[in-house]
Amino acid sequence: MKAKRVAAVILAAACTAAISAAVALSGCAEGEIKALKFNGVEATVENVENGTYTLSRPFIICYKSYDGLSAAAKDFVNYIFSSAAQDEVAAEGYIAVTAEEYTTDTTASGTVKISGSTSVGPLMQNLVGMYESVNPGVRITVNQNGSGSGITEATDGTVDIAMSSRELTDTELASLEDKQLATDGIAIIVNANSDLENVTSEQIKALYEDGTAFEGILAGISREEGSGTRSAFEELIGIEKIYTGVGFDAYNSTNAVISAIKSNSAANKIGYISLGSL
Amino acid sequence: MQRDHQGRLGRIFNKESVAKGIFIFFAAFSIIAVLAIVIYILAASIPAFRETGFFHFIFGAQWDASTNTFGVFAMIVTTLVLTACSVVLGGILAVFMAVFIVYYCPKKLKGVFSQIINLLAGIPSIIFGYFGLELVKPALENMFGTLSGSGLLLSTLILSIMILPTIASITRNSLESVPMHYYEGALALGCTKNQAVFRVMLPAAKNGILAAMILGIGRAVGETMAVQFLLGGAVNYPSSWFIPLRSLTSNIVMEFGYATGTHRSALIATGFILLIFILIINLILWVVKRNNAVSGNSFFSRKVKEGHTAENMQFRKAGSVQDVLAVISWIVSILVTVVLVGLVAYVFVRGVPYLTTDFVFGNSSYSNITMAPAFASTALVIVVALVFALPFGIGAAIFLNEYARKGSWFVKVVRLFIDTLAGVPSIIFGLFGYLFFGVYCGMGVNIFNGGLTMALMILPTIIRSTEQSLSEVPDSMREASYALGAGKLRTVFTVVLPQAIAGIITSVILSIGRIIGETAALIYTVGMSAYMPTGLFSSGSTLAVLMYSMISEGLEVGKSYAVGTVLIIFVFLLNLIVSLIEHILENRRAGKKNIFKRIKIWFQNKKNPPAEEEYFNPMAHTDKGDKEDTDADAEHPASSEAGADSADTAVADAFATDAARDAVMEWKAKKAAQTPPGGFAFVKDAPEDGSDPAAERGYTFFKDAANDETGPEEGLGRTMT
Repeated sequence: MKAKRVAAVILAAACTAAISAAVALSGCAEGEIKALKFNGVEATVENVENGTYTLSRPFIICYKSYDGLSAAAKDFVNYIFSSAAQDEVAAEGYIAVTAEEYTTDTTASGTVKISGSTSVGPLMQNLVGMYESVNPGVRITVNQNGSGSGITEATDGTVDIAMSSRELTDTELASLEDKQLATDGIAIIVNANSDLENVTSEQIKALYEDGTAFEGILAGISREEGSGTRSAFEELIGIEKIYTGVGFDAYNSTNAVISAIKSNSAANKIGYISLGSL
Repeated sequence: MQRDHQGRLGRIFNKESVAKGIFIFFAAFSIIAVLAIVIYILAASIPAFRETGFFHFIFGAQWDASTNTFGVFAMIVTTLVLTACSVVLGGILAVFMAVFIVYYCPKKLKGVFSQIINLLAGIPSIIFGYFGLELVKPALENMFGTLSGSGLLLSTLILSIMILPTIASITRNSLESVPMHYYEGALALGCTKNQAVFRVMLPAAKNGILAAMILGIGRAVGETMAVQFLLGGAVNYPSSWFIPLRSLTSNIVMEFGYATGTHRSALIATGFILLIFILIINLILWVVKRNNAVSGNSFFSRKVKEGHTAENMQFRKAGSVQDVLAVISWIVSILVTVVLVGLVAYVFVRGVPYLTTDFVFGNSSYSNITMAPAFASTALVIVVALVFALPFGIGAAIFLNEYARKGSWFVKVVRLFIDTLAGVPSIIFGLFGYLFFGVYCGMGVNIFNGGLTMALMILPTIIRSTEQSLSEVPDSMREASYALGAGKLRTVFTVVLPQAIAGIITSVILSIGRIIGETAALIYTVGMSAYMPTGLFSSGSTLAVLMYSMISEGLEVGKSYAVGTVLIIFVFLLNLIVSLIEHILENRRAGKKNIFKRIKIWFQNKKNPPAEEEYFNPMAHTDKGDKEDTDADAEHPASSEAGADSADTAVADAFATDAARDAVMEWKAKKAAQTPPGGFAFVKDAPEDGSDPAAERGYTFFKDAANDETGPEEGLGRTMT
């Protein structure tokens, strides 16, 4: 039947077209990002350390109480402040804090649950990986659902340790103890195609507060509302509530922001992420 | 007598009545489940309602967690508008696709299109969400030049593809159950095929299409994971196609992780509003289903008013519109196929490079996440869910089918609640599981919790499917069992239930597919962990949750696509297994050999040609030229004739007098001459010219057990498959 044959041919052709389109399009999602200077200061670890780059925030771990932690959790917390771990912190592109004495508690074993910021997460996973070789008897799970999530879960008691990429508020400090494990900067990023090199705090504030465009940048993407990075950013720039117009999308994680900026080849959006993730 | 020896308690609490009571409890469990969900969610929302005031909560448009202002009106409007748009788009596409599959699809491609629809139905929603985010969103941004593609348009496009299979499969079932004589009547009155399809058959299936649309509405309202990626995150009214929005479901899933206190209660209250929506939709569906006559119901049929005469009624030019519609059905189906192929190809292309043996089977830790724990967690969740859902589901189905009086109000209420349970969005199950099993019962977040939650979710599927297959067991089997003295309980478990096993297996497989693809309910109840679960009370990620966690943490996007690839492969295989089981069932019912038996017989015949028949076969082979017979005869002619001869000899020897024997042999010969190959015919006298009216018209009846035939090949084709 000629009609059936024609139909079958059309179907086959359409499917081949779909497959080749998918193959082609799957390749073109990649681009590059670059960090912008803030008020003329380049976003580097040194500048954060000497204070000229003002967008910086602490990485904090918090828990209900240090004494209430299990032996395994205590050992891991101690490990985070050992010199080996802090060397790793510096190697990853963050600013270490002073290292403390540490001896492995070889009797410690069990499960430790950690949850929290997606900015601290990658660093924490490296530290967990290192710790596993030091003390294999301990199993540590790391969830990254945002600083706010982690703090809530630590308060609820569903996790042992929470990671946060911002300072804890007073209400949170009422029920949790905290300790800073590193300092991190916040980098303002844009697609590598852009000619923009520098942003000022006024420009950023106007953009994120009212949506005022500047120098070809039409929108600023953000993190989700529970994000420590977002809270830190809002506090550092002095914004009460980030503008929610067209293009001001909110993403759930550091890498999602990076992907969004990478694919924004028109280079008309900026975003903010942890400096160490660059 | 047994009754004399029983005391009064013995008369009440004998085995039968205890069993009946247990079944009633199982059936009532769905009522209990729905009520528990509603009450628990309401109870957890009361703090928010008290703080904000019920009406301010519903009609306020500001949602700001930091100032404790909670108003969901903008989100309600968004949900309504999004649902309306996607049901319109998805429903139209689905109806055209269903029409295509039933009426225009070439017979050999029908199975292919069924599998396409089943695959679309089974693909987890996160895959759709990420497909929309990575492929369609940039395309929209380029096409329309907007700053951000997220918003109403993107979500409508993706959501309509997601609800298309739901609407299409139910529409297809209703179209297939429209009586054939409608079509034949239309043709007899001079309609072309297209006219008959679009002006007679489609309106006749109106009720089923309406029910399908309502189910599609339920699915669209409850969709969480895909729209979370696609709507954008801000709380706005849907004033344009591209403004970022938030629906009721995406609101919950975005903020639940870090919400505390009143904020958390407000999110649960959002879930409660969603639940109310679903209940209203299900009530509407129930009302529509009650007026289920094919001829239409009072709400929707258009009555011809008095005063309409030939001058008033508009007559369309014959056929042209319907011909265009037929072409549109072709185009829509090809389009949907292309979208599906593109989606699957995109996921495969991005994922297959990462499908290394280490990734699939290696040891998993946080520095190197693999899929092996996901397999284990998924399997454990499935086992736990089935262990709890199967007894309740089968028990409820047994009650509804075997014990219940047909019109009783209890049965109607139970069915209403089962349908409601089926329509509850998965995010609500997730909240309920987290709050009730996790926090209230103190279980925490682990596999057992997830299994219990999934048991609630798969319960309606199991009940419906089991009930369907139980109702297909013929009453004669039950009556025969009673006649032999078995009680009702024994009949159910030893006679009826084994016959219905295939339906139970189908429902189990469908549930497995659901659990594998489920995300929203499991994130809150099973948690996300990269380690191999050590037992029922450790947390772990199932496959879909693993994909979601890897994507949302943005860690290793390629690996998450690899997980997506495995997911799609699993869904496809499960669908194939279900189709295979249905194929076996259908052939067993029609008495034909299914494909496995045919393959087996083919091999057997190759190895040992069959020996001569040793049993008395009244329907002995005749030489009346039927297809299988000629093949069989060609291979072993001697055996068939020998068989016939020995049969005749056996009969001949059995008679007392010669006269009787002669009469019977004569009658036998005459009958053998008349009987068409393969069985009885409903003609009194065989036609003289040896033609076979029964076989010509495509009817087959009594099957010759030793000499199977294929079914009606050509002819009018009594079924529309």
